[in-house]
Amino acid sequence: MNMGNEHEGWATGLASASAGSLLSGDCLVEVSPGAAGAGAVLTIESTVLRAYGEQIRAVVLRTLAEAGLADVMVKVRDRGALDFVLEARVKTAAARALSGGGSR
Amino acid sequence: MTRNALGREIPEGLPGGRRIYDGSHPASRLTGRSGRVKGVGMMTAPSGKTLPSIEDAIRASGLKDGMTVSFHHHLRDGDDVLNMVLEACSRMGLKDLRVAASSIFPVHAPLVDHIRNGVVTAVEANYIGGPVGEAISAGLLPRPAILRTHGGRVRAIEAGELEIDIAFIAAPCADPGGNLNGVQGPSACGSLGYAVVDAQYARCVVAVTDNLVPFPACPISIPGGNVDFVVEVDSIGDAAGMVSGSTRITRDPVGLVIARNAARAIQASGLLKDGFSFQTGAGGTSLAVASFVRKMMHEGRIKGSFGLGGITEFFVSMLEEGLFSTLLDTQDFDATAVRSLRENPRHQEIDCGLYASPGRKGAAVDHLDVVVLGATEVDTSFNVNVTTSSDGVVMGGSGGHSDAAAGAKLTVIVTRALRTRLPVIRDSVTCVSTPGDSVDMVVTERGTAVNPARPDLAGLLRERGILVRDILEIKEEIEALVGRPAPLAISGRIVVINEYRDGSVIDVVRQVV
Amino acid sequence: MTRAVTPSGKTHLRRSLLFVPGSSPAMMMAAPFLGADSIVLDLEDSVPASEKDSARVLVVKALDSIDFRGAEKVVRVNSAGSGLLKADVEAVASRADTILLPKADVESLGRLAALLACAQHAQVIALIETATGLEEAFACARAARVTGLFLGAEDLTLDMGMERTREGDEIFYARWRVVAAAAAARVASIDTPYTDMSDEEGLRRDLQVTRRLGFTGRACIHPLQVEIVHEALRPDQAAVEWARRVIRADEDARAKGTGAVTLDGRMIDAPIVARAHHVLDRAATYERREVRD
Repeated sequence: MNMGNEHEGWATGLASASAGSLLSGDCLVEVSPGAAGAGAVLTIESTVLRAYGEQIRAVVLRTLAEAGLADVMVKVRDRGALDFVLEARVKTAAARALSGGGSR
Repeated sequence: MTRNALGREIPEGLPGGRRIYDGSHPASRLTGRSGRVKGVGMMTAPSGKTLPSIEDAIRASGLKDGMTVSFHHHLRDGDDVLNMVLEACSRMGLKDLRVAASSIFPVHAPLVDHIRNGVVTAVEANYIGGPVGEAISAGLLPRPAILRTHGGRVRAIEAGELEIDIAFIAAPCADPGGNLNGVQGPSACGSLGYAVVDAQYARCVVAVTDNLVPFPACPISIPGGNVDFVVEVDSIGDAAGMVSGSTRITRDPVGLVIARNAARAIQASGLLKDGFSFQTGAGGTSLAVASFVRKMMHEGRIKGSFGLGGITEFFVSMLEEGLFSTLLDTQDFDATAVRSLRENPRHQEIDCGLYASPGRKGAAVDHLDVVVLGATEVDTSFNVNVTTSSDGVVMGGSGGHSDAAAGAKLTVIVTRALRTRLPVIRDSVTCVSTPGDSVDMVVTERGTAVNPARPDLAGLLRERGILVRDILEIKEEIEALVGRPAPLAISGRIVVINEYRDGSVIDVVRQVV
Repeated sequence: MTRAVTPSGKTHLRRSLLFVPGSSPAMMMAAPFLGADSIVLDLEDSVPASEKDSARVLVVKALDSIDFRGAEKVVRVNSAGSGLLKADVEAVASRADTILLPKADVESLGRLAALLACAQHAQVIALIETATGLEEAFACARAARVTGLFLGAEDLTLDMGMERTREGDEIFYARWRVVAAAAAARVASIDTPYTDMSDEEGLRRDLQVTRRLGFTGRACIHPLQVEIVHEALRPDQAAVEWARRVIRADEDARAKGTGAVTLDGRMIDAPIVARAHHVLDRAATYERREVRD
């Protein structure tokens, strides 16, 4: 998935990548290189946004940090995924981004 | 602000001088007389009641700004009449009308514009789904909408609390004398049970039909003596719209496991024997319970007495297989049910008052053994919400839920405890539709919770090897899985008053910010 | 009777093994409520090649987070020839109860056992679905860690160039071979799944074969098959009654000191008495299972 940031991606070693799906109980996570120094910029869309939006944000940020990603743009389209699913999808997208990108 | 018997906060000074719910038996506090005074009159010509258009009928009926118009919902999401009538009212410049429909569906979306334009400024119903529910939740109406139960609406009309000026009755079959039925014609919908009380009590009654037959209609479900005008239109609606997604047996494996356990619980209760009477709600899981119960009845050679409520082809099969002696039908959900009502004398049409009114000194629900119902939310006091989503948006209403739950010997709620990431079992429901003391058990995928007031029942279930769990435990289990949802941000503005079947206020819905 | 007892002492009934794609959060969440004795989280055939990494991560997190409510946690890893086996095993071995090895044969089971050195408690079920695996069935059943043989008829008939039919005549020998090998090694035997999910009657008929041959369980590819499998493998009332009578007759004979035992004019010797005990054990587990549900 090409977000037009190839030059920056190349510089930071990060490519664009995604993981997951839009099926009920899952989420689709898209990771792409962000502006240097901007940190993690997160966009969340969720079927349970009002009830769990804050919690989703916290889990995604934590998992990104664990994966060692700093300056990233992340878009999460959530369909009611539990925390462990969010973690799994973010972790996979991060790993894919660090190893060349794509959604395989 | 004061608290009712369920601990719900109810503001003082509600319109209509309403009482707040105090938990006592409705019958002890019913007031009012039933029976209305209808004008007498002679028919002036053989076609005396027929008028060429809806607009003519509106004029002839004397409908003015501020009056109340009513509709039934037997065509469910295929109804055209409510939209046609309000469209005509709008064209004619009428304003400030109160719509008292027995239920409102997504097909009634144009009502949102009429509210916006001031044509309609008040809404009363027993169920509100789709865009109208969303608009009401967003505060579009100038005053709170009123939600009642099916039985409670009849009680309110008969007690004079809800006065209807003009009733518009969609009639699949009508004769020029105003005699109506719902079982014939291209838009046949079956029972006209919800319309009967409107026909009896409205000041003026207009039948709208797409199937005008010579006198006499056969059968006669609503007699012409209660009908003032008959209007023929091209189509009153789409009978296919009657069959919505909620009237098919679920195929979800978890739903089927819940349903099987609910059927086993019914068997364990000891009520599944000769003379058994049964009702299910319209949800896919509730219907799946019926299919398991049917198998058990065949295996046990059990002859039931009556099936009740909204009738689907499923219950028709049970009647035809001899599992019930009769069906008491207040609404039909599919073409098979319509056909059966038309052709089988053991399939009886009943009016909504006989079905569920607390004001009739005994309704069918009071004779019911078992009812199986769904829920959006259930709290640890067993209160059930079928009125709003967990985001506080109106997407339903009791309908017959509270009536059947109050009357039945055994009330079984079937639901997942956790729906994807939404806790169904929680500390407190967003809105109370049915009070916890009407609910005997809640069957979920994580076990069955039995109301502490029924230790006898818990014992019977355990003997049969059914997993009985404390409802608090189930709630904690799912909370540990998904976390507690953020509380609703609500304003002080009341958008819906939720009336229990006796007219008292069981809860209110506040506008979400 | 079977060797499905772990060093930690956990016994798995394995009447039913329900397959769930390791790529589907919703199905993995629903699985514990569907009544199966064993749940197979699949990393192999139900996961496309491009999603193997994603499914592995998800299954690991699922094993850590989901309460499987007493069901056996089985993971079907990718085969020894896929290049993914090592990564799969390292990720899940310490979290799962059992590893299901596809296209199992003596060599691949050996490689798996070596990889499992770190995970003391993990058992193995060998999926017999190649010609080699079938020929080596007994050796597979006796291989290290193996507590079950599972017949995979779809891949097996493919590997052997056979035509697969609904009646299943062509797999009769394979079924016999797997059951015999498993019984000889005293491990569980699991019959191939019935692939027509809409044909309940066909499943019931085919389960008569499963039962008569003495398979201890059957794989399920759809939740609605689970209940039908359990019913089919349940010792029926007549069998339970017979078993009780046999045991009573045997006990009477012992008490009186008489040598040969007869019942209804038939000789009852040791193997028949053992069989009667087995029937009652099986029946008893159904009583206990119902309470768990």
